[in-house]
Amino acid sequence: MAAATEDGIQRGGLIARVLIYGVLIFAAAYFLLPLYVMLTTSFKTLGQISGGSLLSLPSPWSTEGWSAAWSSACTGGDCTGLHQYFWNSVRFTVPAVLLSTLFGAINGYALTKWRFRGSELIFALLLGGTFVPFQMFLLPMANVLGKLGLANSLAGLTLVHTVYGIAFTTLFCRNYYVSIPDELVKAARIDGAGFFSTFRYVILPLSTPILMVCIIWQFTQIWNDFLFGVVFTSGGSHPITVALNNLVNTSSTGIKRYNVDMAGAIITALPTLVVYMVAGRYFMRGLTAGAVKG
Amino acid sequence: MAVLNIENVSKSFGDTEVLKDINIEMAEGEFLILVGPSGCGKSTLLNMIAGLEPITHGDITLDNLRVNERSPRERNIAMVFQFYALYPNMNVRRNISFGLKMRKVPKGEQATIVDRVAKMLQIENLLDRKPAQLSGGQRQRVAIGRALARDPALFLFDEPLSNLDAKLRVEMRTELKQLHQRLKTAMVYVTHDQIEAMTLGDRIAVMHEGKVQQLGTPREIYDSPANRYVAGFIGSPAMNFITCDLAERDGRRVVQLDSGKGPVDIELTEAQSAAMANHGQSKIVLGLRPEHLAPARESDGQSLDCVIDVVEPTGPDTYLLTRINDTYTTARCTPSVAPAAGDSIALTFDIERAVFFDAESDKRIA
Repeated sequence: MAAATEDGIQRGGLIARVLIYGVLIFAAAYFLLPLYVMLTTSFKTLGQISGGSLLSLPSPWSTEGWSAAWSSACTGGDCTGLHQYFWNSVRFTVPAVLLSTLFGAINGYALTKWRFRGSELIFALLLGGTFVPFQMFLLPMANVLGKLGLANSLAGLTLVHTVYGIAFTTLFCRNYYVSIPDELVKAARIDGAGFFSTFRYVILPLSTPILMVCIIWQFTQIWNDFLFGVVFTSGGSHPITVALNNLVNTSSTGIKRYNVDMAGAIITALPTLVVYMVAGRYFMRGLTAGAVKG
Repeated sequence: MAVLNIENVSKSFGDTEVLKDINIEMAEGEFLILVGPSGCGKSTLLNMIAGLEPITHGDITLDNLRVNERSPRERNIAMVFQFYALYPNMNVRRNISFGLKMRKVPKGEQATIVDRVAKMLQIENLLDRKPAQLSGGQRQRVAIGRALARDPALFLFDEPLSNLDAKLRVEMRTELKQLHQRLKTAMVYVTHDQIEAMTLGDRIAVMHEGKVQQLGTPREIYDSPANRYVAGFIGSPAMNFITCDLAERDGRRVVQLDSGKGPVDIELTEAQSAAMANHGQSKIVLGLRPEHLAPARESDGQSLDCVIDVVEPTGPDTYLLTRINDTYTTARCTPSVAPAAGDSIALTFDIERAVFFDAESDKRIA
């Protein structure tokens, strides 16, 4: 055994250290390798891809794959790239994330701070909503969307994702709000605040961590969703995930354009990565804050 | 004129009755204490006055206005909570003015009120801090400031000092009393601490098992407790309860006490004798506060030789533990005359101050 270290924590000997670092570096490389291959391939020309090694760096660097994926690649019969579908996804993801988060926060607040007869039952039912698989949703939802006149529209897709997400956001927010003392709400009521002004001025300002959790969770779920997108929209209103699938599976010339496919995949994945980087530090904090007393 | 009137109020949660037939009338400017152990319903009653809990039965009247169905904002009250309940995201100024903002008081007036309240509580230098940057005592001051800003007809306090350390609690207690003397606004104050109850209250309602056991001035509660529960709850160390037999000697009633050296008769006063005769039972419970049982001087008449088991000096007083009628009994003396543990000394009874309870019902007899 090694002698006590400066901070008093016993660490293993040299062999143990080498082993630990070896395993960690191997694991990191294992997970990062696909990203490396995707990135390098997206910047190669088709000639470099077929001629060179998988791991070699592009030379020279070419943005041909990226511009094709964004504005000229064919997705099915339409050859305008992914950009239109990218904005489709933005147009329904942003409102669906914000709405489901807002409703989840209001639900969680009502279920913990304004308990009423049957509030526990309603929470249990909502909790059940998190276990409903996507597939069970499809037919009834298609029916409802048809009746509402929202079939094949981005507004309809927004509604689907908002409704499906409320069960999750309510669960997160409810567990977080349980740990906020009830006395705060009582004090606000004595001060003359009603249901919504208490929410707006007292509860919401304390909710940043859990709202970040909801936003990251919902954004990832909704942006990455394929099934609802492919079922409830068609043609020009497809989300980017469906368009990416069409892009990869459309090859007019019979040649796989790997550089375009890789660039398209990265474009599709980029927004979730950005959201993680911006809001990620709140994610773990929010999850544990809710869990400690939940 | 009554500022608060609680008439026949009861409260049930499902099948559990937590408050039974409460009747309290409160005069303007009065400081009323609700005191009792955890679970006696005192906080529930306070929440009902505030409008945070619905009333199952009976009426609550504030300023001659029945308020049963009114929400807290429609009642002319302000409340201070045990855990301060300051809004963590707002600084002190905004905490104090939040209620004014909700009531749409003009901005300029809000600032005047906040400044006046801050000056009164000496928290002017804290106005721009967040609650997390304040000590416990400062937080409670801000919470009181929030209530003061409301300028209500009635203040409600829910154990406001029980989260503070012992020294600060005593200081804040005095400040609260001074505040009440200055404001002359009625206050209802919930506590489980009988010393707070005695020091602060104009009147005290001792509560137990959902009922008001006794409502009276601190003096009345201390000297003439209505039953054994009240007698035991108020006072520290607690009143001694000694079960003893009654006998008659020369036309006077006597109680028989035994410290292990054979029974000794202690003669009751005339009034006490008469009450015992009326009562008719031969077994009763003698209630005697420690300060009414002390080492006897030569001149003292009735005394009892006792072996002192434990000696507890507290500084100003020393408490002596002995056994009378097989019950541990506490006597009080000044440190200078305190015996050592194991000594046998004569104790004298201030029998005029003693109270008597029925052995079965615990009700006061005399």
